[in-house]
Amino acid sequence: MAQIEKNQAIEAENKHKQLDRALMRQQGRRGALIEVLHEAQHIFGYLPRDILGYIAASLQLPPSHVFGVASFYPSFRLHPPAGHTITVCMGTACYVNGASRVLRAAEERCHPRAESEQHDRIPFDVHAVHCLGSCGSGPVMQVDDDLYLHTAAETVESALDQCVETVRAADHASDGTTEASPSGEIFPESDTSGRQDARNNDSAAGETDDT
Amino acid sequence: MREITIQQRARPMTLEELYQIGRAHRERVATFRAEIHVCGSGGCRSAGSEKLLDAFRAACEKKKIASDVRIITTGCMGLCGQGPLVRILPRETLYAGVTPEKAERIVSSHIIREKPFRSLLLDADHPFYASQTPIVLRHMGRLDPESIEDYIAHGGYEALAKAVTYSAPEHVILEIRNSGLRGRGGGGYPTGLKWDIVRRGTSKSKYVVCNADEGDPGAFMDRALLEGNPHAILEGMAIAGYAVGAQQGYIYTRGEYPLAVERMRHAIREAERLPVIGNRIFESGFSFQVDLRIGAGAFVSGEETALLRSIEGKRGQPQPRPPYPSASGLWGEPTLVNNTETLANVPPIVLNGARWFSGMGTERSRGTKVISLAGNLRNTGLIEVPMGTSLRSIIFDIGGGVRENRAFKAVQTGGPSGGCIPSQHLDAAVDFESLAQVGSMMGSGGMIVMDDTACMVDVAAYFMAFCRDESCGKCIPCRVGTVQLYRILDRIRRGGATLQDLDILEELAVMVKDTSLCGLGRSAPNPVISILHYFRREFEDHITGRRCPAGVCLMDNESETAATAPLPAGTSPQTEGSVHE
Repeated sequence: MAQIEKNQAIEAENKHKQLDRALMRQQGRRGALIEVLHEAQHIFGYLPRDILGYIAASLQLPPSHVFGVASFYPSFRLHPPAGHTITVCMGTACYVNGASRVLRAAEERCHPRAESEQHDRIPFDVHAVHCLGSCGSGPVMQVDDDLYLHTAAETVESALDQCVETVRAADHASDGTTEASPSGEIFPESDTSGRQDARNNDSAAGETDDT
Repeated sequence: MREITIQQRARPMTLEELYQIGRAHRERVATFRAEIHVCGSGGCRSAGSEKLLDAFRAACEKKKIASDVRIITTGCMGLCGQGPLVRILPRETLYAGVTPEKAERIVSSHIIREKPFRSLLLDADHPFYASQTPIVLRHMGRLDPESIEDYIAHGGYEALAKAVTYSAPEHVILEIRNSGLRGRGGGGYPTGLKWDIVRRGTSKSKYVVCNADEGDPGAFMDRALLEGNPHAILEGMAIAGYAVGAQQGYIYTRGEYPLAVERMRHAIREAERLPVIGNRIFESGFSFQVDLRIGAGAFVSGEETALLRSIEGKRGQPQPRPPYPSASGLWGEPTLVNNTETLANVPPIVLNGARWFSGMGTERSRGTKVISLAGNLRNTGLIEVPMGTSLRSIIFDIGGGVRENRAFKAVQTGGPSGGCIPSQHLDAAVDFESLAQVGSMMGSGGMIVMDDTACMVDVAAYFMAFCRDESCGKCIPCRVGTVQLYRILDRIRRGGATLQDLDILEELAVMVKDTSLCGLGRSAPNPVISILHYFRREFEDHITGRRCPAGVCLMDNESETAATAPLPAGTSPQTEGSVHE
């Protein structure tokens, strides 16, 4: 147990060193904040609040400015990710070729509503994005970094099974060095319903009061 | 720190040295017995072209010709829908849908026995390629985007060298003005005029910004250019920098395009190493550096004032214009903001002259346009046609017509700022004015064809959901208007609307269009207005008949599922996907 804690402490320290190097590289460059945030998210998997404060101090910017920028852009995550992500392209070309059916199939698979199917649940976040830029080959789906072309609702199941296999095998290989647990000890006030960033939450809230 | 490293670098290159590099590279390439070009653009890559590269290497190894064959990854070859594509030289032949298993048979047939491998052969006069005029795409799929030598061997950086050596900045601007080049991002503002305004700015530090923040869903021209020929963009930027008197350039692109970011980064490093950008370019008094900035998923950041705020490291929200960026842009200095395709047009114009360029296209829209052709079509991919080409010829000749012999319903141009054009206007020409006349716009060049399985009410709701999600929230008409417009459209889609709603929809659409702060809000109602104009019957069918003629929308009583946006913001089990079948 003590060993695990020690490893975690070393890892955290390494990540901080990486961030310091990134900050060093950007020093003196005007408007470097967004670049730094990209790097920080790459290092930590998301942007923890204490890291945002640290970046603000290092770049001599008001914390409100840094948080304002981080919460404005949809690509920046303020909460830890679930581990793996399925991104379904909902660009126009994919949409007219049936992307909404693919999205629904992926959601049903990853977040089944029926209790009996819960054991089959896949630990993936499902996201819809506006365009992945492969419009000639839609519908397009991305699992972590791998792009799947010409997906159809019928083939999405087998594609997902295949992804789960590869991802689980990879996780197994790197056991013990996985990301921080989704409970997010650095960000204790996080709740699971707040996975999406603030902007998305706003529009989701705007939707529900309509119905 | 950056400045010091550049000063320490080797002396500037000369035009003669540039020619030498090109010559040496061409001679080296000529020694090969054959060349295999594997398309490495996003589409083909995800269709497995990386494995293909290994398969071809192994096949050549096996046939003991590995050292005689040049195998490279190239940019987009165009026909993305049939990827992965492979081109083999000599006896230039294009193969489509190539799998690793076929690599060996292609090598032994085409290279060893000198006979084309018939089953995957793409006809030399395939209609997809027959009526295109590649200017911006002239090198696409023919050179290695990760080799600056390859670009130079194809005449790269010659335009920059000649411009800074032989022409005064005013002459370069005059050439661009005379060519009639207009902004390719959708605005259509005369490029030379914009350059002239920035040139006249008295400030010492000016900037050139390449807007590669391609956000329109269904558009992938910038992506293909960044991935397939990054040096052409760098060269265009440097020429622009010379003409307007800027010393610093920024390329702003999307974080969603990792390969484009990687290739561009590599290209900047190579260009600085040679150096063709940096201090005293080609021994002139002109110095220019380029930095890459990566967006973080906000569509509105493609609007030029918002984009500049984002480069400054701030929230990417638009600002009222004037002042225009050409007067007060990045950090308050005069800034030239040009679209990727516009800049890629610059080197060929400088090399071949304004007359050559203005000889193509129409009276008011000169040159060519790169279009990403997608949707329910036989041939989808990246094309380039002279301005003024009719929609019909693009869709039915190049695109091969609608897939599965279904009926053509509409073509969507200009993304969420454009509109949908029905079959009676298929003879409209693709240029800045003609598409506006039929209620749409050319935009940045995305073109999506829809067949009779598409419900136009659903499409209208789709685009409104997009604009609602992407509204930055700064001005009220856009923030509130897009939400209300979407709600009405969604009500119509679910069969819960009245005919009065159609009037409110029209009135509100015009109001949002007239009163929003930036281009996003001002153009957000365009798809709705054009769809309502051409397909009003479908709206009425949904309202009075409570039925969807295309069978896409589910009426409320037919399903207990709550309808939400086609692009749900949340993905928790509570927020189900859309209700479409």
